Amino acid sequence: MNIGLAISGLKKTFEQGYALEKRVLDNVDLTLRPGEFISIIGSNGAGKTTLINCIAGVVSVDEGTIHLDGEDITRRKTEVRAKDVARVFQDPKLGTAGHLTIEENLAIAARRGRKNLLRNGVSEEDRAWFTERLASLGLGLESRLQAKVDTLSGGQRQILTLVMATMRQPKLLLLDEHTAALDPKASQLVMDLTEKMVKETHQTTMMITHNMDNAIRYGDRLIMLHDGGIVIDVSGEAKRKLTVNQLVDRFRHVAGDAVISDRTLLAGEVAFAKN
Amino acid sequence: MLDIVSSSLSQGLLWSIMAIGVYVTFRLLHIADLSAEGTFPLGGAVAASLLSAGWPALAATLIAWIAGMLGGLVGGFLHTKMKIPGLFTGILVLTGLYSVNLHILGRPNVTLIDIDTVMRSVGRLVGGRLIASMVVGGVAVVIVTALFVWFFQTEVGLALRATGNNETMAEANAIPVDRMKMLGYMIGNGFIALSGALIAQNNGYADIGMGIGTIVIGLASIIVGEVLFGQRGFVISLLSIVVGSIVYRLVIDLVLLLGVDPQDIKLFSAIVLAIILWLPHRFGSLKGRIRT
Repeated sequence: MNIGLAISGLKKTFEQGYALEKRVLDNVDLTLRPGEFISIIGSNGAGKTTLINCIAGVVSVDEGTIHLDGEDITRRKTEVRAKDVARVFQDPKLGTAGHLTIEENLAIAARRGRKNLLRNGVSEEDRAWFTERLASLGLGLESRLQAKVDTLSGGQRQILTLVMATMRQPKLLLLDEHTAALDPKASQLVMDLTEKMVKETHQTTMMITHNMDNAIRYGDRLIMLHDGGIVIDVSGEAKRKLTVNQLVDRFRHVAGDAVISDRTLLAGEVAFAKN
Repeated sequence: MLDIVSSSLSQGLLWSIMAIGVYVTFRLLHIADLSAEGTFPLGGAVAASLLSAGWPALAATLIAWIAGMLGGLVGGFLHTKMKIPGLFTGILVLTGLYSVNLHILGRPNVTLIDIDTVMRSVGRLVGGRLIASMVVGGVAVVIVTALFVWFFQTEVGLALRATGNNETMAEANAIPVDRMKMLGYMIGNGFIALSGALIAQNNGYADIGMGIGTIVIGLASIIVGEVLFGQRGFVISLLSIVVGSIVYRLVIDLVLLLGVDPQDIKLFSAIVLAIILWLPHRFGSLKGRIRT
């Protein structure tokens, strides 16, 4: 059975019962078809990261359910969900183990969801597979299999994390602003690779981004979160025709004249300049 | 002088196994685990009691090793399942083990006169107490190093190292992090107890106070090694711990030779470790070679 992701009535409040109580997710319903690539935008504090963290199991849910391929994963531990849910983080350091070598990191990812045994962690067979896989990226990483990941650049680490996350074709790939910490060139490279990998394997993917331009350009569907709810949900032809200007207008419309975070605006303005 | 050097060498080899155990929790899991202060004498107590009861030396030593792993399992359980911070976990384990060790010994110390310890059995073969210590120490270091290097390259070993290095990454890759930490506690404290068992047999007695200062010796050995060799691959790291352990022992023995009162030796060890920890911060050239 392959029926994608189904989130229903998701609620999350931080600091419940305290003065700083903040409802971050307010009754979110969201369904992803298998193979769908969805980008999520929203101002700071809109609940994007909380949503992804609830799906990954890092943040516990107050109310509502999360089903993946028909299975209720709402209360599953992070490490158990990770068998089906792979993640790439904003901080390139988070997705890889810096003291381990490239091949050791890949070997760990290759064993996602399988039992770890007392046999050689990186076999010759693995090595051949990793070399082939990395060579296809054209970054020369395949010749550095035994280099510590600490010695890689942020962009290279992020690409490695992406390779690791997609290695076992997880049921769901979560990208949490995975290009935000990179310089523009590395950011572009990682985005292009992301699109290539997602398309090649029809990978069901949720991508949070601060960059409206990227949100429009990549993915089959775009949603905007505001105040813990989904305020815009476009896909297909409507999404392809969308411009950053229209998106900002629509956001102003639904959100009143609420503040759009500086970063989002900035990302928009860069896009205007290009248009 | 040569006597001092060879004595430091044999003692250093035996103690380095303890330091390798500390390395597992301290460097691989990034937990400052004080359990060593309890599991080291646990190893000594178990070995001494079994030997006194007529058990063969090898069996007594192996059971002491296992006892240390069980001690580590308790620590791992407290830390992961009961969510007790690493520092407190160590304090709880070492405090609790004090009573356990007293029960095992039956009295504050047990001497091993006229008992076939590992050292004495080997001594009969090689003809000499000091040489026997060195042979036993050397063989034990080789076995422990081989086990260590093999294990930490296996799938489980990689998962354990990843857990210590980056827990977020480990979790995101479906590694059962709690189980890995417990395993690390077990492996580390197993080595520590093994060292305690060998030291007790080498000294010819086990006593309840033999664990005091263990963690200082362990950390000092690791850091002396890292200052000398830098942080490199596994085999180099382990060898640097062994060398660090021998150098540390040599310093202590020389200080004793210079006439420092033995009862001041713990104070001296603490001061030496403090200086070792401070040096890299004082002198930039060493910066980056060790993490404290």
